[in-house]
Amino acid sequence: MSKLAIFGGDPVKHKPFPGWPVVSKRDEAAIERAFLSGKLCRGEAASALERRLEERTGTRHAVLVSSGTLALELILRGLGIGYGDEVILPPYTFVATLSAILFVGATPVFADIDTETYNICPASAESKVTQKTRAIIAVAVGGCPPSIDRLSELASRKGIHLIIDAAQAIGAKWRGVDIGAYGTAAAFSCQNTKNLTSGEGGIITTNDDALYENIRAMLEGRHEKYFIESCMTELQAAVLTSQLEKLDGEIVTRERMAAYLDARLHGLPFVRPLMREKEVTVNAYHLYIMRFDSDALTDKGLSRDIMLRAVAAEGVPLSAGYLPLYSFPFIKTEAVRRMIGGDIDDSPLKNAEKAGYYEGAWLFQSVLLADYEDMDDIARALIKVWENAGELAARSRKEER
Amino acid sequence: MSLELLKEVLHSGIWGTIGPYSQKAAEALASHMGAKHCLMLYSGSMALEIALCALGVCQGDVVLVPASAEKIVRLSPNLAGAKPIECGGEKTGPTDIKAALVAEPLIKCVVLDANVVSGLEETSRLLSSRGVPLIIWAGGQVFSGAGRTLTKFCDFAVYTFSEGSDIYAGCGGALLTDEPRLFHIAYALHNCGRTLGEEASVFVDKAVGGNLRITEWQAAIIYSGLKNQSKE
Ligand SMILES: Cc1ncc(COP(=O)(O)O)c(C=O)c1O
Repeated sequence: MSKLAIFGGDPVKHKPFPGWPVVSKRDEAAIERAFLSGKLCRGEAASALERRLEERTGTRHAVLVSSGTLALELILRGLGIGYGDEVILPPYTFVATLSAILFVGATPVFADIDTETYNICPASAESKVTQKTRAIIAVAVGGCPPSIDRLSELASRKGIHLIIDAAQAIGAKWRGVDIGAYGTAAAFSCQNTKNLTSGEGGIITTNDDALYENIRAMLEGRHEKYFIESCMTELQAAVLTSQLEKLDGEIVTRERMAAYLDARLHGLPFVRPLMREKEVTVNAYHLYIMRFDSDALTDKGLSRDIMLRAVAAEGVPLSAGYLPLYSFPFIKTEAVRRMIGGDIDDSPLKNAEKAGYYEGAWLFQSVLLADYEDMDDIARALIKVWENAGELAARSRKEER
Repeated sequence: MSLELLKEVLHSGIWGTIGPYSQKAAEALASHMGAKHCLMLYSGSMALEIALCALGVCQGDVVLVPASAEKIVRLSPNLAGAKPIECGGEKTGPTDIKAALVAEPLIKCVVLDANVVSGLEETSRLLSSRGVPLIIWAGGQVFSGAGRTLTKFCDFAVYTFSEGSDIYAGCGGALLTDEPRLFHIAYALHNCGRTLGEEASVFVDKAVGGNLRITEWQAAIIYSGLKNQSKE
């Protein structure tokens, strides 16, 4: 009988990884208090949390909103970015980075990612800047800060805004400073899977007083053009405040487990962890991203997707990551053409293609809240599948036929 | 009842991304209003935005709004990139709409406010004969006023659950329609392009959409409000 679980063998891992979110009595008390206060929006929980987030991130303003997507949209609208303007973004990100740009009517322009970090490549971003460019949205993919220094320098040299999509990066730091303090503004997500969650939710941080005032005006119906009811409810703010108590401890655990897993993967000929730049002092690890070596896999007659299926069968929930956004059919629809008044350049970008289709693979953040033995199991599952590559390749070929 | 439901939501771990209460609230509201479809959203302004986008309103279009409507209604076309044009006086009726259609023949859509409207049936007939879609803002009138059966007269009826509404959930919105096609377009637009039943998917590549979803917290309160009323 085969050793591989995908063909009926005994899986490496039987015990499931920790679930998410983690609920405590404190959350229950927080919900009760918020509900019984009778003021379910624009109340004390939200404003107290905003002050706390300003302190944590070292920024002048934090605004709690309904989602990470709306956080990005409010930043763009607040900066007056819209129809006719271009916004540069990486294609290796969740679709929301793109849809925020489309919803304000601006034209998205894709820049390639760096092969080592999967974050936006500053040189590629620079090559996409035109007279119409108003902003670069740099995503902290998986919670790891992008090249903040080079991107900030580029943005200021070109007179455009750097907006940080920190949806996955609550708690991340660059040179010891919270990621929310960089760029013109940053947007965080508190959606159900995120490292700090209230089910849905978003946080905007900025040091730009005029932008802040514009955003507040839009939220409160004082803006001359937009009235966007996107204030975070007190229930979300209460849960978020309660969940925040455990965030720093979880960040330490995730970083410790990630470092251990990095070491376990070190030296394997077919897979390695993503790199982080030396200025990244905290990686928030919303995702643990690893890169398969597509050449090594091809030599054995394998592909990333075959590996993923085999590893998942071993009880390790490793999944394929993003596909490049420019390949999504909807960007060519009439609906989108009308939203932005033109076409989106969908030319393939080399590094995004490789990451999206052939090499990238993810573990979800709560996996890193498990213990050292669980990290050992992840490495063991990968090694086991690799050691049985011959059988896996032969049987996969047969199935394909 | 709301507090118990909120605790249930908490312990379920499903606090957003369209959980059971978002669906239950939508079903309960659709049945209370006698509409075929209901979509719950994070807020009333977002419900208006999605209604406009679902009807194809976009950049450069002109949308008619009542001059005496709430600001949220008057400004809503801007969210879709369209230009609002105000019409009517204290109330907006068929004569105002007719005159506006003559002055501005390229009107893409009309938004009316149920609180400041007269001759709704006639207006509705007029607009449908001209092929101009109609959105009616019912505000917070879930139990009171002109709230019910509005979908007979329009493409979308829009409700809010913010302060002053019959059901207060801090914030919240709903879109009602009798048109399955419009419902599905609105659904994708409000949930990252996902189609109904595709909630967990990370890869949503067929339709465009943002994140305008309601939370389970809000949905549980709205559901509880609807159930309490139906018991009475
Ligand atoms: C990179 C990125 N940007 C934006 C978002 C949007 O956040 P939300 O889901 O809160 O709207 C997400 C959420 O998954 C994300 O991962």
